[in-house]
Amino acid sequence: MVIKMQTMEAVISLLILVSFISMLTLEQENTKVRTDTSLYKQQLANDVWRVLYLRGDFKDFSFDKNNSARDKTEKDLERIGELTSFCVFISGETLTNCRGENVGEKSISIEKFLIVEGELKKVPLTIAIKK
Amino acid sequence: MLNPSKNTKDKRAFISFDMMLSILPVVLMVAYTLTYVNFITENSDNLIKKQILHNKLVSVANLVVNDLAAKKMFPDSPEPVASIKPNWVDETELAKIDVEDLRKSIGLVKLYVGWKNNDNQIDDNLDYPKTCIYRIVVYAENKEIRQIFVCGE
Repeated sequence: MVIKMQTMEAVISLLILVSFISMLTLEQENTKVRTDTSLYKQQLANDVWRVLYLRGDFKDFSFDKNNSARDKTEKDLERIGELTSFCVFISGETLTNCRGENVGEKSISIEKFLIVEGELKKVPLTIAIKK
Repeated sequence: MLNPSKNTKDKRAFISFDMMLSILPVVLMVAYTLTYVNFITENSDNLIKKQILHNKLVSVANLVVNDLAAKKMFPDSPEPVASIKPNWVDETELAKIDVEDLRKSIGLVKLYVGWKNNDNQIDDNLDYPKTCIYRIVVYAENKEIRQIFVCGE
């Protein structure tokens, strides 16, 4: 009787222990879950591109450092950065409001087409949060 | 000589005591587990509600920026078809938005669509919804860069 009781106790304790561990693991997983904002970030990246386009920044655009359109684009990116705390990178660090700055994790990256010096080019646009 | 009936009674008492000691932690653990399960359910419920609210605001903001508040240009033709300029907000179009109707159609308690002032507040309105998202737009003819906010509860 005592031996059976001990076996039962051991089985119950094991079951409780296993369920306790799985519950704690579940809780850990649960705390990791955040609101999914991937679509929203994608829209914000598209907003940046659209705003630059509407302000005529891509007219006669060139990545050349002496190009006035490039300066205007960087000024607009600085304004966007002031409003949103974003660092925007167009074609890497070629065109950015955070040159040489330490930025946080890259939030989103999209690819757009742009006519640069008469040639159609695929240009990546990346957004990161300023540190 | 030992009394056999006393020995059996001692044994029973020991078993009952042993059972009580093993059941008590099990009961405590079960109670704790139930409380925790309740907590996790509530937590995930809140997360789902938050996600739904966020998705609704993202949808409203997209509709506002791409259509409702977007600048419309009508060409000079007998049957004018408006050319819509997404991300270019026109104050007249923005004022035309029936926020109340929009709020009812997506099942929110409160909804705000518009600008924030320099203190990052909605003007003179302390009772505005707390959850906000924004979109980056250009405003008016001079195409000033601004943030348009969509807040909801």
